[in-house]
Amino acid sequence: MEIFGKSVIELRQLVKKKKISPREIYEYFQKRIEKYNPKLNAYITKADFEDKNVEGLLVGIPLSFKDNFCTKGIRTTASSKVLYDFVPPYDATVVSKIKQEGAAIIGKTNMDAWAHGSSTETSDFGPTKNPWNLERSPGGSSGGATASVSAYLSPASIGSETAGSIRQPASWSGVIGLKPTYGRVSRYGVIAMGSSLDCPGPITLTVEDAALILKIIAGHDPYDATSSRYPVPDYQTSLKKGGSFTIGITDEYFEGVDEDVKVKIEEAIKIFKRLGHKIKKIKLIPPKYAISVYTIIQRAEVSSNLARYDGIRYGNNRSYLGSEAKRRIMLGTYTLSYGYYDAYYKKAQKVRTLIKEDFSRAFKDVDVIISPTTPMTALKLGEFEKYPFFGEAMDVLNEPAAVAGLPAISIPVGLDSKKLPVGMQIMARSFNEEAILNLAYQFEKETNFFDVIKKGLNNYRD
Amino acid sequence: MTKNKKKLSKDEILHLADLSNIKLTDEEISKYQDQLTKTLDYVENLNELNTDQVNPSADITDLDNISFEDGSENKRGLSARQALANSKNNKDQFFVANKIFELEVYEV
Repeated sequence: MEIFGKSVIELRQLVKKKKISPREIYEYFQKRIEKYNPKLNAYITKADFEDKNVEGLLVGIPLSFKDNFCTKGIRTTASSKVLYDFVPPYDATVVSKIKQEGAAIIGKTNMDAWAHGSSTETSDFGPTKNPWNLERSPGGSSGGATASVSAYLSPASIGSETAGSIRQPASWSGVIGLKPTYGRVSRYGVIAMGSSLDCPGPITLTVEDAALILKIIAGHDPYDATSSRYPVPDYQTSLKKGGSFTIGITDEYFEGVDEDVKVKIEEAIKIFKRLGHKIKKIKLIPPKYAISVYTIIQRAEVSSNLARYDGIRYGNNRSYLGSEAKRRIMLGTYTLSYGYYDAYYKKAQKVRTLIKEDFSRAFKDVDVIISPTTPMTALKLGEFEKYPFFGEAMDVLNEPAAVAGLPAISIPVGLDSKKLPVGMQIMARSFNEEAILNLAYQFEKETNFFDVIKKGLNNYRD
Repeated sequence: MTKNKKKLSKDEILHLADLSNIKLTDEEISKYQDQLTKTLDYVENLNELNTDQVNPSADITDLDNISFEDGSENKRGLSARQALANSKNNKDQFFVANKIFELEVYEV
């Protein structure tokens, strides 16, 4: 029975029909990890098979988790030496929900340390390589997770996004990455970075897999007070409803974008038109302001969240913090200090309101907004230092939706002249993941993403 | 873009490091002086936007205070053994921490 390249839903069917056992699938991915991980460094901790006797939507499916999800009994480091030997005594809510459906953890994926970065280069375990080109970064911070899916070292993965950390690496690694609405998915047990922004989400090979996993992980959690009681729709059913949408596009999100990337997005827009959707030009606040809002708010939240790492109850002491974490903690400490609070933190909170209201206004006229996911395709490892704030410039188009808490997906729309994947993002109003998935699904049916995902997989045959 | 009036001083960086409980090498101090100043310069662009009539957003959920009912079951509790399992220094079911007060002995 060939397993290679099968989606979560396809694998689930094979298990259901008893054509293959959960152990066989698990051992298949273990073998692939052994073969390819030394080259890619997508995983930093491998797990072991556990025989489970449960019924559920994911029985027999091995999934990888970004290493900032607490996994009971499995080392969880957030790719920082501070937590080098930390073994959580409990599961994050997302992890326990996935386990309840019968899935198995295949391993923990590499990331920028504490999720601080957009390249995995700040990881204390060394960078992950982009499966499309080993000299390049897979993006980050969920770069190990997207690489694990792109090279089929896992049929899907769970990542997390604060501002771009799912969409940007999904775009660079040529896979699908969904950042749900803030509060749609519980943050309990996810190593905290920017608590008013953090959001777990699926990284997959198909849109339907993303819908299935979102359905499982979404919902209210008493242990995350910011998780929403808004009902969880059956995303898997609604994504096939079809229909036509009014799609917003805005010049501000094409400024400074590589010509190669622009061309692919314009082609995608033509396809949407052909499918009967209406394209409408809109105006939005330029994304560069979202960088500033994000930089101030995220650093402030980082300085507070990372204060807990004192090496007393778990982990190592603060001398193990890396350079990026120290830089962020100190900037956050500065902007929260007496005398600077109003000028920086409060100002950023006010502009956050402006950005949120700006989107609300836009979503009165359009159902979704599309734009490039990133201004350029995957950079070379080491190249980030040339750009201001390292990662922030790569996440510029992701930060507005993150700051406003909106859902967005990145899907592949072709390859650029360097043969690297180009991603397009679809954003919608809060809790309208259904529209995003529906439109992404229509695009997938029409184009099969120009075989980008398939080509990526084919570089890593059994 | 308006520029920050002056570069963050060495003392300012040391003060921030002290507040953050972080130790820095001399090389790091000068590196952070530059990098933090650059970032603060960049975020000045927010002043191009008028926010006089705008309320700050501390969060984006529109949720009100959430609390547990008295007597709610707490499934999150850890046993002492679990809670101590990751600590490198503990004694008789307590974490060992650095002392933060000097003991003063008064003659009575």
